[in-house]
Amino acid sequence: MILRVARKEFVDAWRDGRFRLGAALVLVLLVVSGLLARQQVERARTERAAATELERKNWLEQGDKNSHSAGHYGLNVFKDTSPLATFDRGIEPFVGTTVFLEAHRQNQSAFLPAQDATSMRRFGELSAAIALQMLVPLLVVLLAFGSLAGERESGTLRQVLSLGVRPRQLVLGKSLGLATTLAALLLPAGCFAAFLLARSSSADASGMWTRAALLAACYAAYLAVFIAGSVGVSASTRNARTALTILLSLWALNCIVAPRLASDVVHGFLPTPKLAEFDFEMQKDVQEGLDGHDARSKRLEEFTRSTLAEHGKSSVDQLPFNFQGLVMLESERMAGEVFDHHFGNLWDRIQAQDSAVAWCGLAAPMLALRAASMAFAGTDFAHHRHFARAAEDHRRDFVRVLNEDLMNNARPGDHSYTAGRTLWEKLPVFQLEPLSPRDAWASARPGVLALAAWLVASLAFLFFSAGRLRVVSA
Amino acid sequence: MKVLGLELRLFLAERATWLLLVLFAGTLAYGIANGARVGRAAEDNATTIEKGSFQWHTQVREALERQALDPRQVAGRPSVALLPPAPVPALAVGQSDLLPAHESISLWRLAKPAEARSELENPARLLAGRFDLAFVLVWLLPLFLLAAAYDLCAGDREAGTLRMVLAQGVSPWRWLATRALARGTPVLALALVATLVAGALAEQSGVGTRIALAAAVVLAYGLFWLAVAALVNAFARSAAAAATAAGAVWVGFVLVLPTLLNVVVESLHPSPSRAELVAESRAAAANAEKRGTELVSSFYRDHPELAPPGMQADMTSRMLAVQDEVGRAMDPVQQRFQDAILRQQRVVDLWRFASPAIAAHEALTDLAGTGYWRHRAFQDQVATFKDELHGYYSPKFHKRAPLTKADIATFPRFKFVEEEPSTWASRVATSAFGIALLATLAALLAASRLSARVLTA
Amino acid sequence: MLEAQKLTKRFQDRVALDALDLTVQDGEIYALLGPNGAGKTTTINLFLGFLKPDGGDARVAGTSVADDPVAARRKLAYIPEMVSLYPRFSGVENLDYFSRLGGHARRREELYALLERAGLQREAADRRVGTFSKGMRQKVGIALALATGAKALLLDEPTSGLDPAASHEFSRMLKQLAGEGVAILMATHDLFRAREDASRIGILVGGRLIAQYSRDEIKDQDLERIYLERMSA
Repeated sequence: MILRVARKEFVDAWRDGRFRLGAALVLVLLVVSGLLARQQVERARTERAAATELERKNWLEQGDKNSHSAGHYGLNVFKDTSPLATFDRGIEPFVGTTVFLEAHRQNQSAFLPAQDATSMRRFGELSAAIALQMLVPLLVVLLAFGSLAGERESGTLRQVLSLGVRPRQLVLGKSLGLATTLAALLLPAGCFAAFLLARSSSADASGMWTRAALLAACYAAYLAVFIAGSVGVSASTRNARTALTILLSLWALNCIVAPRLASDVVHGFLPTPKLAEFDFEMQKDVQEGLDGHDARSKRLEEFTRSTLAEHGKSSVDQLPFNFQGLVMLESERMAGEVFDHHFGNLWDRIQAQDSAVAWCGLAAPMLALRAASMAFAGTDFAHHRHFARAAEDHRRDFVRVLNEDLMNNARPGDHSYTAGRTLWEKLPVFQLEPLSPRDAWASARPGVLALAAWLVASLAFLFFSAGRLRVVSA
Repeated sequence: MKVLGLELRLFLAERATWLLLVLFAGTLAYGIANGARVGRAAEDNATTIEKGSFQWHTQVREALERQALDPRQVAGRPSVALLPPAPVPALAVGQSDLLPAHESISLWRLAKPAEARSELENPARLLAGRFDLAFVLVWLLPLFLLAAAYDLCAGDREAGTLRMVLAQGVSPWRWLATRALARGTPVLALALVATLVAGALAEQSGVGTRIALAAAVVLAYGLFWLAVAALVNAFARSAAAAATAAGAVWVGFVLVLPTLLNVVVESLHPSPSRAELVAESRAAAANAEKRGTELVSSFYRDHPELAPPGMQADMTSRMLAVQDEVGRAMDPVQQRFQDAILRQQRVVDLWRFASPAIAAHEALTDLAGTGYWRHRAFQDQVATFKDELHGYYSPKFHKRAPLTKADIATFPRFKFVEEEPSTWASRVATSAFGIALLATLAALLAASRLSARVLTA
Repeated sequence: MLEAQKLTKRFQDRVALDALDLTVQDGEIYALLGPNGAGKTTTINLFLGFLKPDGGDARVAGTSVADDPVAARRKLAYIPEMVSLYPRFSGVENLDYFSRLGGHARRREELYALLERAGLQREAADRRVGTFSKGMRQKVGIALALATGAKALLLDEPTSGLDPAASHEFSRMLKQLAGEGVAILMATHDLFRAREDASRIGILVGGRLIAQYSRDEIKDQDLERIYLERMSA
């Protein structure tokens, strides 16, 4: 019986000209956005590869110089885009693509693509994720608002129930029919996406298919919430017009108002530190140490004393290595602790904000979905942090190698020491080990859980409203 | 007029109307408060930066009063270029949360890509955008207007009461337009009041023109959506169909068209690559670095008047020569990069009329002083200031001439010059006019449809 | 067989139906007459289980509607004043869907035959029902009753708004169904059709059944006069 109702709904939907038009538009948008995003991601990837190669060349051909000077000469590393960014670009346009690695400083990634774009970018970009988050739910509303309220108005509901159909069967059948209709629309698009993904230049990236499957599951759950919720509202309202008004209002609250509202409210409770304060505090701690007891110079003096004591010498010139190199190693280590502390706090704060917004998804499912979607697509802050962390680790390795070279190869007090290409070549090329789906799960969790809560709640609502389905308003 | 009053009273007699108006007033107030908060933060920042910069300049001036200084001592400290706070920040946050409002300019890094750092911000927040007044006006105002006016006659047609009304000999278009105005007036009035409040909150004086233009934009934009409501009603056979169509138009104009415009921009003029720019400038720098000594010598050959005694180049002059060379090498690349961005924005400017939402948003951010063009002007002026800084110090470095009291008068300080009022005013007025034109078109279409066909058929 | 025993329904303070006792035997056509608001549609809604009775019981072929509304509905067919159909489906598709919902899957040919029996020609049955007249819709309703093999038929103002020919055609079908042993309860204002078709007539006023007449009792009398007298009493 449920299948029978579902089949009728399916046929009915496809015979509806308005739905066909809407579906065609959504499909076109999905395909166009997919192709376009792919083109953009591929271009960005090519540009990045070219820049990386040029930067490596710059590095290798910098000429002979003091190895610490080479640390100041520095190195740019460029962020690679997740292959699934073709589906959901997430925060990518709003985080830097380049980190300059140099001695003494941990730089933030710079050059946000959105800064080099038109003001239009702020209206939002066309992506398959956005279409699925905002437009497809609208299609669901369009299909579902009259599903029961409309039948009640037109009188078919009386007839259907007079035939001995149980309200629950009818409501479930309607929901299933809607789900099938959407599936018929979206599955081909999904297959197309999978095809594009399989042919993309990073198709072999580990865990990508797991991520894609998780994404599909999240979006299926989100749309299921909309279907169950819309059919439930339609079953509970007196007429189709009321159902439509309620559903459109909920849609606007969820898709238009909630993202900005939630982010503003959360930032009120968990503010991001100001740049000037952040810089000041960090500079202070570099100079005075994290515990604030000893000045940097004092700690370095202490370090000199203990080093001399360890080697049983009375002057740094008598040490068997270049002491300046060792001091640089030590001060990098000390600064590293400070950087880890401050950047760690900053990034923790941003992630706390993100997870708070994802928990706001308990009030508006789109927030939950968006968080989960960006996490699985690899375009959320956790993934950016992973890149920033890896870049910083690379910086420390690279500065350490240079300072060790200075320490071991430069004669004490020799300021004319230079290293050359052999040393430059020893430094490894920056490689980013991608986060596994398991790691992505950690940042996706609040969103997924909120989404799961919605799924349960909306199905409960559907059953509840089916139980209360009234033909005659008493 | 009498009918308008009657319709207005009818509309206000419904409880749902008041709920709608209270909700709208709430969102407007929240939007203004949010924008004002961002504005205050920007104001504080600017004050701090200005204070620091002022202190530094006083110090330098006082030191120069006492004795001549080595220019390298003074030039070592980066100059700060500051974009003053926006004139009407409560109106729109615009690009101000994304684009830096100040830039530290070090003479030693002139040739490197700008090191402008924006405030620390959660990227997800930049993605979401702010709940500011412009958001309420551009995104939500149409929704509230449509909620108030989507059912001008479709419901009556459905219920059959329309036949009764038209049997009274009322002109359908007149009647519909009056109804649309009656239902739109309270919502629009709130929006206009909010615009005025945003103007009243402005710290700077002389924002009258901006507010007047903003009100004109809001009015034109509101009328456009009322015309859409009328148009939808001229076609729809039921209230539900009218609501669906109105919703579809909103989604098309506010959600889909802007993203499509992005697509058009991106395909016509692909975004330039930052990564390449960065790597190329480093390559140019390395290249110039290697030829450092040779560069200085050739510079002195060309500019004997700047050559120090004995033609001996020191570190500083060598560095300047290298920088000049990097600048020369990078100029075309930089230019290409900036041109690509400018071309993109020109396409946006041209096509902003494709959707009144785009035009209205561009106009409101422009008026708030947080839009693209003001930031663009800032970036351009920063570039000019770099040249000025270079022109000021370079001869002194080369000639090893000290800074003296006489140099105080010409000491370079960045001072942002606001765009000419006529420049932004004409941009915004064009937008307002374009939106009004679109509104008229929609209204005419609705009118012709209504007169061509009996509503009750 | 349709039975109502002390069937009572209240809406807030108003008694819509007051202890209705009514039996419609198999093969009988029972016409329920009464002014607007007398409780005719409430009676039908109670038989359908769309309303819960505040007292008494309604039974369809022995099944209590209150106890098992779905089983009761399985035994009856319902034709409202205006048979509602899905506009994007043809007549035969509508019939197919409804009869399957009623638990009776039938082959296409059978469905066409049933529609034809109800008076709807094949080319009409293949058209989408958006343009169907009320009479054509009634025919789909009858075909549905035939398709589900209902034991009882509930009709709510079936002939109002039908032209005389369609009305006549409709009553011919009703009689045929009654002849096959279906119990038919028809709420109507149509005194002419009631007198022509009904085997019994009940007059419902203010929720109370104030009079019942068998066909023979009113054979030679003016039904309109009786009705008006009863109303003013």
